[in-house]
Amino acid sequence: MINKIFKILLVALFWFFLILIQTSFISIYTDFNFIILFIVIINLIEDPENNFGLISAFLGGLFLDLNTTYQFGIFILGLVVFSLTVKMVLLKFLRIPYVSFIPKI
Amino acid sequence: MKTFTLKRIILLLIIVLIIVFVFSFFEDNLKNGMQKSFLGIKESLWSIGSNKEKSCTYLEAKEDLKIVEFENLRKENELLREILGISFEKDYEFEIAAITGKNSFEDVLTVNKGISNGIKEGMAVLTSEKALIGKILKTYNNYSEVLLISNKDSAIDVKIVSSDVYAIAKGGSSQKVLLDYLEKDSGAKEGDICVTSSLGGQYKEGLLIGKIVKINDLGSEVFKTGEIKPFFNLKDLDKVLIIKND
Repeated sequence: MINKIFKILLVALFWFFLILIQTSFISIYTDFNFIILFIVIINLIEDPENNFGLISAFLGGLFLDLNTTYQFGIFILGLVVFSLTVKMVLLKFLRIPYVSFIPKI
Repeated sequence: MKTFTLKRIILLLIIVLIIVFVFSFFEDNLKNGMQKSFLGIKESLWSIGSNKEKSCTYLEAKEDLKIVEFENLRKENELLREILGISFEKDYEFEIAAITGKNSFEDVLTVNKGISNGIKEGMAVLTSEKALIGKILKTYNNYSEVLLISNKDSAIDVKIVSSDVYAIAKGGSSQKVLLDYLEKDSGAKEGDICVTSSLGGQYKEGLLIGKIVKINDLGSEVFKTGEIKPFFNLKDLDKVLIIKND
């Protein structure tokens, strides 16, 4: 359990620093949001039974919500629903090969 | 296969909804806490980003042109301020703030000054060359959000200096400013300078906005439209001035 919490904290730290870079460095050059792109890609290529994509969707969404003026919760809910939908589709209707280097949580 | 059953998914969604609901009560505190702790890092990252553009060798020629253009604009700004009789140092009380970031999906900047520095919502934000960037949208204890004039929610009453006519400058997103409600028979042309007018009551009169780069005159429309090139570029900005006694 402690191991799992430690892993989640590491994931939170990872997304937090990515958000810092996105909002203060990348945003000077482009309006494109790489955080959402990464979360979508991770959810599509990871093992559907792994929780990394779902936790990333929640934490990435939370940090995005804290860095925009939109209604709080839009990104959390949007990304979590997306992640769950992808997992459902990949588990029940479509089997595609997944990559193994994404850490298991 | 047992990890994501329908029951679990519904339970997860309910938990996420509850978390969002609870967090939304502390939204301002969370935002302020997060920004306050990392203002220094964000400021440095923004500064690196904005300076990096200038140091790229392949852009040197472009940069030289920009410097010439900038010098011309600065002289033009000074001349215009003389004509309009505006002395910024005497009339306004400024607060210097550093840009710490930009929101990804909207033309909103964050700056490192907030309520604790006497910043209030609606205050005008200018570049160091005294050209209008936008206004304070929301203030937190240690930082503020700035609504850029290029934001879609921004609409400013403008006066075109050479022809003395009034129009509206609307945000067109991605650092574009659009000109609207320009009278058909107005003598406004490309290259004319736009300044704020006091009609809307948002800003004091005479703050520089930009130069008209395009005017569209569709015969069927009642008004002419166009595009304004603002007197600022985010890539060159790291400090801004906030007018405190607006």
